Amino acid sequence: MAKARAAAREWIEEQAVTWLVRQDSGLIRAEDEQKLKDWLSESPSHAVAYYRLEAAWTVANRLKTLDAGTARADSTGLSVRRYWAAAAASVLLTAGFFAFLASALRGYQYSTPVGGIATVPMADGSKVTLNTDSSIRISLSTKERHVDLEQGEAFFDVAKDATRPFIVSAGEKRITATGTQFSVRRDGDIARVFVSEGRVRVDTASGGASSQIAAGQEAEARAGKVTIEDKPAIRVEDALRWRSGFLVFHEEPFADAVKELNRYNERKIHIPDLSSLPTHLCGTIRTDNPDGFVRLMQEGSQLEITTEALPHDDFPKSIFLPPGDLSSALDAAIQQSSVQILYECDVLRGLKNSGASGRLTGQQAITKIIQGTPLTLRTDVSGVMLIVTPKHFSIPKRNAVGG
Amino acid sequence: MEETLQLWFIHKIVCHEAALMRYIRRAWPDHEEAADLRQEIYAKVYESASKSRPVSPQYYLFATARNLIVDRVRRGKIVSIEMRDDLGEINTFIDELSPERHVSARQELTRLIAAFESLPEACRETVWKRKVEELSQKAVAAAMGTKERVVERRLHRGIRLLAEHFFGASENQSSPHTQGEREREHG
Repeated sequence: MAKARAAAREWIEEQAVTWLVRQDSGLIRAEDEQKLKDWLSESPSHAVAYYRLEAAWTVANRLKTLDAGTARADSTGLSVRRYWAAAAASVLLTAGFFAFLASALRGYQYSTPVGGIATVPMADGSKVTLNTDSSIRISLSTKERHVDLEQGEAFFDVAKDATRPFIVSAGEKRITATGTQFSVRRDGDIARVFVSEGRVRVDTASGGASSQIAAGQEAEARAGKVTIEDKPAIRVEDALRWRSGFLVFHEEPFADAVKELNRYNERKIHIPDLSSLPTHLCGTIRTDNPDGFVRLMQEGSQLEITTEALPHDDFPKSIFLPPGDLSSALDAAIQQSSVQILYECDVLRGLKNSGASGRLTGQQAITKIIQGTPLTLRTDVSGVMLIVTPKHFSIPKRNAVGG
Repeated sequence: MEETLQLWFIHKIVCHEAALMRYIRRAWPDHEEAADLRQEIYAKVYESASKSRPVSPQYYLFATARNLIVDRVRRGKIVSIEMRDDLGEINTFIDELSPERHVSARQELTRLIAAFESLPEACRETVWKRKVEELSQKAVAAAMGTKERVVERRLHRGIRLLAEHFFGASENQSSPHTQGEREREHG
């Protein structure tokens, strides 16, 4: 009887772990996924065995931040040993384990390729989201949590821990927080800090300028100088839209918009002559849609539908666009849907709309609000739209735009 | 619904595994059967929670454990020396768990390290390469100079042992390798 029970458990656990490893390999096929679902609902014994093992395997993700405990890059083996002795209490650590730790002394590095986004969970409960072409190094200790932003941009969702400050270094700049949300973008010697929750302190260099940055503010730290700018709430969200794969432009000089889009793509857009193009862009576009961008901007050229269309994720949602100022209504459309739309900021000046609401795609909502204005939409196969005026792009340039 | 039940099961039930295992070992003389009992208790709790969630998950867990063991004792020949008829003992086990027992991220990491540390060497390296270095099973096999089947078997074993030690090990007790988990690396 007992033997039979042991055999049954053994068999269920082995099946559960086989499913789990197959699922984890990422090579599982759709029909197998269904089989797994069926197996799980067949018996609560299956479900409990599987979920328990899955939970353990998920927890094991934290092994990635095993450099916790390595005080700093220059810490000695001794201090590491002392920390672990305290942290692991009665657990005896073998030499083999220290070999693992030794390789982790410099902290773990994470990086993303051009066009990539990745979220790294940290051992203290914080999360780091890496933007395109970025790399960080994490090292945690009992005194502080340290992330070195070696390149690119990252968003930090910091778990509260007043005893261990969370420090991001970007070159010589240091950003210190205890529990908050902020992003840091490193551009050579310049660091841009954007706080969406709580507050952080920015130090330009040891002994240099130090400034407090609050939620809704953006700081630009250059050598010895920090410039702080207040941002309206909607712009705070816009600035962090890259986390869902969108770029949002607001009065962005055209050349800068191109530069931004190029950050996310190996194939770079090069525009030799900017003279017939708008000076400043507004709107939003998916970071992986440079082709759509180029096609839209080629005024008068035939739209060639040759490349594979990107998936449109502009599904109907419940949308409410306020009547009145057209540019506010467009801002709302961008926020509430996954529409991709670009326009020369000036074309909306002074225009009104009568609002739109209901379950609509972003495209439907925008079509509705520009009715009755002289504006029309040009839509690219990739889903991105451009708002055009009868006299499109013939607006006199306000200033020269460098490439 | 399905997902929330799964999360409930992990956060409200499996998190008490260390205390549950201690209780089972106290009440049931044959320690080799502890894991079988655990599995059976979990399945009962899970099934019942799929209909309606108990108000006090940990009390329900221990009551289920007790009832199952009492039932076994009555039907079987085995007499548990530690067995009591009242639920007093359960309460002492529950008291060990503070109401909303919150395991800090750091404690959790400490337990994870202990569990990881307890893996047999080949298993540990395999888990490390797959989980931390994020190599595919194929790449792990290549890096360790072995077959993919072996990597798979080590992963199976590694995950099961991790669960055993991470959930089941009590803080002040080093976790011995469970019986029936003998080294099967060369097969």
